[in-house]
Parts: sequence; structure tokens; C-alpha cells
Amino acid sequence: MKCEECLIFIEEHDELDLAMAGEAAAHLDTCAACRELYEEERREQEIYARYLLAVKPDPVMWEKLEAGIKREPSAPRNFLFHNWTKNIIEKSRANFALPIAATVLLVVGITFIVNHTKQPLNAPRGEAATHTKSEVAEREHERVISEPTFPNERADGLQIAKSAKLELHEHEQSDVTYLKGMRTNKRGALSLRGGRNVARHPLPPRRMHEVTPDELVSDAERLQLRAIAILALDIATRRPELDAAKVVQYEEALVVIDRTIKDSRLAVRANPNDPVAVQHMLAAYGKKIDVLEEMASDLD
Amino acid sequence: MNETEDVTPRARAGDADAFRLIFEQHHLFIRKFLYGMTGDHALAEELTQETFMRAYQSLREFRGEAKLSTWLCGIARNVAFVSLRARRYERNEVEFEEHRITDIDARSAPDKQLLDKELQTAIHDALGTLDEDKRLVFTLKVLQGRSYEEIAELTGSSVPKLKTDLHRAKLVMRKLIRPFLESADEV
Repeated sequence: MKCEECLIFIEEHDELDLAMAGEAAAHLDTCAACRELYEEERREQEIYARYLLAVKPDPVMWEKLEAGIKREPSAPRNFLFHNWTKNIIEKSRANFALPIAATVLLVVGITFIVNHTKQPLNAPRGEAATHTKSEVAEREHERVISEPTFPNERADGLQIAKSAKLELHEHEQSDVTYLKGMRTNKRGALSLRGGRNVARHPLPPRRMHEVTPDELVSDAERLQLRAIAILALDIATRRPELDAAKVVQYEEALVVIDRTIKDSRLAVRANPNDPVAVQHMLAAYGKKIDVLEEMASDLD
Repeated sequence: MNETEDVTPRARAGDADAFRLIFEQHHLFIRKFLYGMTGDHALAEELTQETFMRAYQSLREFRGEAKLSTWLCGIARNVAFVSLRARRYERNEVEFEEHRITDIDARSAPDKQLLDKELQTAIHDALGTLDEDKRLVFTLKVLQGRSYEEIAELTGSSVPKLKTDLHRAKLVMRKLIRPFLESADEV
């Protein structure tokens, strides 16, 4: 080995292979200049190694960090929500009884809601059969938005309506998939060729015992969307009263929830008979309602 | 390291205990790195907290493509650079503003403990003369024993560039530390 090669060894001795180390050792035995450089490098290393020993672990640092995390409002909200949904998924996978029980509860609850609500399922029943559920939901949404609840804040209301429409537009994008799921019901009255406006044969008036599970889910989804629209309108009209920092926090939380809604909705559209997917979607809608309610309560 | 990698999915799922385990396994490495970069114990502590706070907030974005320690160190590096630049902007000078090496007469301090203290100060001040890139590679490679590969992954620099930076950094450091090396030999 030449001195130039040995210098590389001296500089990078911790990353070179054993073969080169052996050659370098042999060279160091015979070359005093290189040996001196090597010794100097080694002494420096020893000194530098002591430098960071002055940095000791801080036993209370975790407590400080934990306090900081608790003070951080947006992250835990997202983190906990994520955790919460993950837990549901994990529990659902681990225990078959949970999704079954959840589905039973869901069906009973939705049947109860449908029986007792005055929403326009009854009046435009025939009409509902000739349109996709999202059209009905959109019309319902527009009706809610156009109600003169806050006549002086019409502009804000319209803005919210627009964003709600966007959300509903996403529904439409996946309607064909959804309708395919619907086709599995026994009534078979919907024609799928051509997209959402191709239902040719109005269904006969429904009786409650004929309502299928996917219709119940659709109705529940629509009801939740309606609740979201009402709350969003309420918040929009009074939004300037909200603390700007809080608005940011809420918006961050809503972004996460919207993403969950979108994902779970896609899962439902892909597997309309999957109770776990349905449960997640409705839970996500419910979470959004919770957050909007919290925002609204901040304004009270 | 494997143990930490195992707890990462749990931490990503929101398990606070798992995140604490990650913190406990890595915080000293991060704190030492930040001390190497800033030369200030209080600031290093503050930035360590900032690093883990950011890690907590974005843990779900960690895909496991790099080692967790490398990912954390990347956050720490960004945090350190932002802090150093902010300070430089505020003070219009680098953080390591005091270079007292020439003021210290090592031979007047025969006591080894005192010499160690002076040596600490000398290294601290010598580090302060390095630019950020050289200080980074010196801290990670010499002070913390990381491989070139890891440092390249962290910085995005090529290994040859890192080697060049480190070589230059060592020359500067050697020049400034040499009087203390000789004194240490005498004690």
C-alpha cells in the first residue's frame, strides 16, 4: 500500500473493509509518517467522542413534550380521530360479532328514523324512484339552504351551499357504482344503462317492510348530509364571530374527517353490502356533525 | 433499532406509549445532534422538543422508506437550520459568535478537569467556525459516528461531497484544537 492509499484509510477507517484495514496496518508498521498521522487522528477521535458526553438525557423532557402535545389542539384531534377509526377497524376484524351487532343496530335505528321523520321521502316517492339518491339529496340540500333562516346572510349561505354541492357532486361521480349495488335488490326497477338519469320505470309506492338495507343506508346518509348542510349554513352565517385560530383548528379537523368520509364512501360504493364500510362511513358523517356542532356551540 | 421500527406502526395508529418509546430511544441522539449544530444546551433542548412535536404531527406521513432515526434526524436538521438562520437574521451574525480559543492558555490550567472544560469550549467554538453543511457532516460523522450513506440519505448530498466537506471540516478543527491536543498529552 502507498501512503496516499493509507491516508484514505486514516480518514475513513471506520467504513473500510477488513482486507484494506489489514493492508493499511502493514503499511503503518513500516511508515512512521503515516503512523504519526494515524495516531493524531485517533487522539482527535477520542477527544471528539467526549464532546457530546456533556449532553445528558433529560428525565423530564417527555413530560414537557407531552404537555406540549396536549396544548397542540389540531394534532391530537386528528390523531385521536384516526386512532378511533383504526380501533373500530381492528376490533371489527378481530371480532365478528361487532359488525353484525352494529348492522342490526344500524338497521333498527334507520328504520326508526325513516318511520318518524317528516323528510320528503313520502311526498316525492315516485319522483325519488326516477332520480338518483344524490339528486334527491341535492334538492333537499338546496331546499335547506334556500330556507330564509338567516335572510341577512344569504351570500354566505350560498357559498356554503356551493361547497355542499361540490360534496354532492362527488356522490354523483360514484352513482353508477352505487346503483350497481342497488340493482342487487329484488325490485329490479332501475335501468343502469346511460348513467344516473336512466331510471325509466317509476317504482310503485313503497311500503316500509319493502325498504332494503341499502336504501336505509342511503336515507341515513342523506339525513346526515342534511344535518351537515344545516350546521354548515348556520356556521357560515356567523363565521366572522369565530376566533380565527379556532377556525384553523376546526378546518384542519374537518379536512381529516372529509378525507375519511371520501374514503369510506368509496368503500361503500365498491361494496354496498359491507356492514363495516357502511358503519365507517356513517360514523365519519357523525364525526363531522359533532365537529360542526362544536363549532356552532362556540358561536352560542 | 428494530424494536423502534416495530413500534412505529403502533405510534402511527395513535398509541401514545409507542410514541413515548420512540422518543425515549431517539431523543438523546437528536439532542446531541442539535447540540452539535447549535452549540447551545437550552436551544438544543427546545429544538429537540420541536423536532418530536413535528414528528408526532406528521408520523402518519412516515412511510418507513428510511430508518426512523434518519427521518427524525431530517426533521431535526430542518428545525436546526431554520432556528440558526432566524438567529443569524436577528443578530446579523452566526450563533457561534464567540471564538475564544486564542484567549485560552491551556498550559495555565494543569488540572485535567479544567482542561476538559476548556477543550469542550474549544471544540464548541471551533465548530462555530464551520459553515452549516460542514458542521452537519462533522457532527453526524465524527461526533455521532453515522455512516456516509445515512448522512447522504439525510442531506441529499453525494458521498464524495460529504467526504470533501468532512475533510475540510477536519482540517479547520484540527488547526483550532491542536494546542489543546498537545496540552492534553502533557497532562
